[in-house]
Amino acid sequence: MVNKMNTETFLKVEHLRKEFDLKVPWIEAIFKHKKKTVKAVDDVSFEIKRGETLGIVGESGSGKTTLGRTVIRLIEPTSGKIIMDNTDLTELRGEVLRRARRDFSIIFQDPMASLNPYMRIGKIVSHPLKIHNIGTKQERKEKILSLFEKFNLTPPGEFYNRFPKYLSGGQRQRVVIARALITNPKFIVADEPTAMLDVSVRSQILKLMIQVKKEFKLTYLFITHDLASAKYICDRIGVMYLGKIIEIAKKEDIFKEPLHPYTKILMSAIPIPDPNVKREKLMPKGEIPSATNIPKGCRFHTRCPFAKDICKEQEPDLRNVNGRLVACHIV
Amino acid sequence: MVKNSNQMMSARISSFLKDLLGDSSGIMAALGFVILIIFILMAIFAPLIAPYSPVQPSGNPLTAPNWHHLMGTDNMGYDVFSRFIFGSRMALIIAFIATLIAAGVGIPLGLIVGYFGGPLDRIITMIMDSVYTFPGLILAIAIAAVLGPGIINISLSIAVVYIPTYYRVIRSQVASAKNELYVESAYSIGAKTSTIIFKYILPNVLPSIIVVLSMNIADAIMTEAGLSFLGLGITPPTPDWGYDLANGQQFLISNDWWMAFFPGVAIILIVLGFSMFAEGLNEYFNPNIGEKR
Repeated sequence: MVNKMNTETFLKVEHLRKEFDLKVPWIEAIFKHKKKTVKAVDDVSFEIKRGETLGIVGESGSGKTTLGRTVIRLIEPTSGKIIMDNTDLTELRGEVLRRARRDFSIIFQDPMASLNPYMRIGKIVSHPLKIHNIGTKQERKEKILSLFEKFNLTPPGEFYNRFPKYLSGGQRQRVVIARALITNPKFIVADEPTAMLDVSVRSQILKLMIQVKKEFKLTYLFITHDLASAKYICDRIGVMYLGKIIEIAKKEDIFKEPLHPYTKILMSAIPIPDPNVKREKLMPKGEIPSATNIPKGCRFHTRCPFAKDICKEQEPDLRNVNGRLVACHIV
Repeated sequence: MVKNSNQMMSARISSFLKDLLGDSSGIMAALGFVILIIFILMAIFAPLIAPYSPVQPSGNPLTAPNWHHLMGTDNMGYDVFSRFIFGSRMALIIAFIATLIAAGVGIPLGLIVGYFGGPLDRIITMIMDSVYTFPGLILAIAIAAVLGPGIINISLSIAVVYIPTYYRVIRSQVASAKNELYVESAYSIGAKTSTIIFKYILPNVLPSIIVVLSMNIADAIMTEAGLSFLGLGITPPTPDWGYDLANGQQFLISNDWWMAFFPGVAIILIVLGFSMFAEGLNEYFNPNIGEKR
């Protein structure tokens, strides 16, 4: 996906943090004054250029879904700035934020659960328009019917009056995408949009997302744990580990030459369909640590095969290595 | 919901009926519906059906059932059949008003508290739970004794007993529905809180509201009859099954059975009708939560 893109920064996230308070038994809350928190997103900064697709990859529990939701204020950030098109989203409140939501939307992972079972498809898709007072009833309906046609939900008139339970997973996900697009937003967070779909439908949805991206001039934040999907759709990829982005680079670079040890491990986990290819097997030690108790120093040192003394003491910052950003002492 | 309190008498009746009739809930609902329609028509057209005035003596006291007095006369000479017909008015009116009040308070409260949660949730739930722990009839007696007789007062005292039932069902359903992804997506497209509550959450909890509603009417009728039986209901001689039952049972010892028998049958039939209908609705709306109630 190397298309001519604008070099203008569209979204800038600075030092974004999201901590969740843990529930503690009340006795503990009284006697130990320390609050327990989960640092789901821990000081994350990145930029997305207009028209670009930034992928966020990482294993379960790395905070990628929380990051996606926090960026569009579905979850309140603990601190940090989210600057989209020169507006700081973290400063919007109440009605202003509600109005601003027509400019960005989200595609959830589970298409079965993200549609109201008691609403007809047509109403589900037209609801964002109604909320933001766009068009008359007739115009809205026409717009939706033409969108259904484009999304291969045919015959559109029939789909318009159906309830979600009569649709297949792929059809529902197309409805979800249609709803996300109907207000002509500029930015879409896709939170593992293909994870719950089977392989044949997966590529359809990815193709559709690429197609509408060009048509609607969208910018994507694409969250996934599936490296193949990320390779297919993203321009740049950020790797997340325990709430932090540890490496961010162009797709070609990160797949050809991963720099961070964790990225190397991720890449070596991709199966190669050739039994004769020998390659070094890199395995991380143990399980991902709990986000309530993030290791001191480099958060990956407990599992890193190359860890040195400095890694246990000092937390590495994202730094520029040959035009790429990596957070590692060794590289 | 706990089955051991008399609040959910209708639930116990319908589970008994289910054992009796097997899984033929369609027949049950239809039968219940027919019984209900008969009683409702009876209440509407009472003056046309009843042969005599229910509040004026129409024959000799304590006449056994005969062709002039189908169900006999009572100790005051009132026609038992006419009182049977007119009694349905009082039972239905009070049951409907009480249910309306209970639902009108319990449902919005459950929706709001369930959606917003927090400290408000803890306080209101604590109040509701403490009301819920009282045996229904005893609480109703206490309130009725304070408020005194009259249709609205009786309805109110019954309603107070049933508000927690609505509140608990709705609050728990809303609390789980608000975490559904479709609610989050409504939020993400910029829907107002009121839109989310009424268009996204309410339709998803509505089926359980309908079931609780029809169940509660049956319970309200029983509570009303209980209050009248204890002399806390409507002022006599207004026809009322509970009062007639209490009045008639004194004469059972002298074999004047008809005075207590017919009001008793009426109460059983109407409660049975509502219970069967409610159970049928329940099967239709929530085929998989039969046991959870």
